[in-house]
Amino acid sequence: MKLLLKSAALTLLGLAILPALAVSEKTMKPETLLEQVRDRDEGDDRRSRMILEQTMSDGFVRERELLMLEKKFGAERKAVLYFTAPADTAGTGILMFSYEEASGKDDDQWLYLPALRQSRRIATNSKEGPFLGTDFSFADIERLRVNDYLYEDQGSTEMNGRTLHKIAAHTANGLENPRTGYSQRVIYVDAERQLIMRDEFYREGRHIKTFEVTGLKEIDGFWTVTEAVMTNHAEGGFTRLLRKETTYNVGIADRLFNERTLRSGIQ
Amino acid sequence: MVRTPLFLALLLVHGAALAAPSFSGKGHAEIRQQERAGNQTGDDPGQRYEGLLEGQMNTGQLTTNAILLGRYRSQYDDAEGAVRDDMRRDAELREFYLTWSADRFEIRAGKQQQAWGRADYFRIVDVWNPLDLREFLLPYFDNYSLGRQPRGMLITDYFGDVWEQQLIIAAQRKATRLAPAGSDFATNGMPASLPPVHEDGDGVDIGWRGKRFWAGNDIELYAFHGYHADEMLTVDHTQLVREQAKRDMLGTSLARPLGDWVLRSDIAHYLREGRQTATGIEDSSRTSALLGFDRVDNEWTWNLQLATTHWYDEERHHDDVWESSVSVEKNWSRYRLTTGLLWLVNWVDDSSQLWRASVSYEFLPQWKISFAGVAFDGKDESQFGQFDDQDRLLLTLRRDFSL
Repeated sequence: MKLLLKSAALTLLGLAILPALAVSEKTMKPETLLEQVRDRDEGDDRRSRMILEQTMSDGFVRERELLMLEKKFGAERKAVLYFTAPADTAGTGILMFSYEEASGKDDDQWLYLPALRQSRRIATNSKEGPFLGTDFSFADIERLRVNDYLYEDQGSTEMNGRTLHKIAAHTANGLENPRTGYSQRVIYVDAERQLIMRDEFYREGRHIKTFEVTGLKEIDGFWTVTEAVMTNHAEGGFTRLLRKETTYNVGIADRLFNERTLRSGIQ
Repeated sequence: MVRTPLFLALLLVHGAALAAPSFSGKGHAEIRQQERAGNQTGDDPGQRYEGLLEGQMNTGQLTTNAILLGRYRSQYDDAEGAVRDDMRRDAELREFYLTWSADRFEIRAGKQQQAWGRADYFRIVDVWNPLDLREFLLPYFDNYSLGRQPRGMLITDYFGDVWEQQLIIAAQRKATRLAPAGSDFATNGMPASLPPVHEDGDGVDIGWRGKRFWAGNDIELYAFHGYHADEMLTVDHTQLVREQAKRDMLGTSLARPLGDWVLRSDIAHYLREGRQTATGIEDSSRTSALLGFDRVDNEWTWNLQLATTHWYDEERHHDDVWESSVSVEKNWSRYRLTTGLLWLVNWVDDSSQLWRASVSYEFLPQWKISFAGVAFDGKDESQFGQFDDQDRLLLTLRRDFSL
């Protein structure tokens, strides 16, 4: 359970971040386009209720609900995730500090387990493992890191009435990135909205997972992914992520991004 | 059905005038069948039933938490006297406390628990809540918070820009709850006839913790003045009595990532610490330290710990204690399966150890069945060896639910 929870917390943050990119220039370099997605304006803070609905290959469905607070602190972003359901997970909390990619610093993370009444520090070097046992990995959820791959512009394509930039990404040595577990990706970016709409993940030449945005809504002037699906081609099954009751710039207090919130929860 | 009384109780505390309180609650019901392993004699450990309800009501700055716990152990149906009274059933309002939160302050008052330190299983600086050892640690490996005994405390936190500071005052003492003579986990070496237990007594515990996050490190400092959690035996006017000795402690903790691992450490120096001797309680001092490493990698969780205690006592031979633990857990989330292995080792003059292997399967949402085996090994007078005849197999069915 400890591991599942550790894995689970990050997924949500990633989803919030994956979809942000704004590039209107067709000639823009893929790296620049992805940097714009990474640095997309998502307001000063955001509060959401999230649902992770995982359907396993045998049809077993597992659902988790959580409240998520995010806030920008200069170039740093902080997030708190607090699980409210189901009962065996409720009360678990995760605190995350994400730093500017240029700083080279790894994220800092803490996990609060009600069974221990203690916060535990989590190592963030390897993000290959599943987030809360779902089809998302920690790497899928973290803030986009442009320097993990080399990119190639593959032109544009139409998807659901939108023109998307298709970008092929691969590691410098062709081997899997030890942090993410992927060697290759094919990324579809909506440049105008600064969002990744589809992401195909490969390991050793094998297509293992696909991320796809299936719901998008403009909330308080920000394009927000309200539903996304990660399909696991390697092991079967998929995980649906729903973002509900999202509000931006509500003035979330700085003090809430603290281990204290992990214990007392988010109301 | 269960939600209503819990909700009403919490509402009464908040007062009807408070507007739109929010309520959340959860609980679990658990049935455990225990069988002795091997050919050991003794009463069949039988079934153990446990039910827990937990509720939280929030009205703006004020939050109320309550936990109700009930347990029944069939093994002690036919026992007599203190064993039956102490072991057969529990029913208690386990925790009940109010929290008032402001921008930089938080105050919690009531029956509660507070964990200090970074260690698992070994209590280097975790001094506030005594343990309930009536079934040793067997019920608490998966939920250590149920092994601690909540007590009345006033906890004030101040959240500064750099340091968080915590002040705790507990106005009444509370002692470790030991298994009574005649029960499975009664401690060796204690006289068969003991003076009455004083679970609560007069005497104030007071403590301070400072905490900060600096350059990727979690750093904590501690100071404690109060009483030892364990009752020791001493002679008072020719009468054998139990007493909690005074203790003073200064400590520190550290946690930080180290590559793929997390390093964590607790160090404490007990300037004054009571120690049980053949003639009574001796005022002594000791230093304890723990070094731990954690790694989470693709659904594998590794926890390694090494702890040592040195007593500054020239007259005794057993001045150093070494303890270690290795825990490996693997989640097979696609198969809703969790497997775990725990190895605890204690070394004074001789080593003794505890092994626990477990497998848990979620066969329906929020329904789990688990199977565990626990084995003790070591000489009779050693920490784990004294329970060498208590090896057992445990089959547990658990249902978690929301209120």
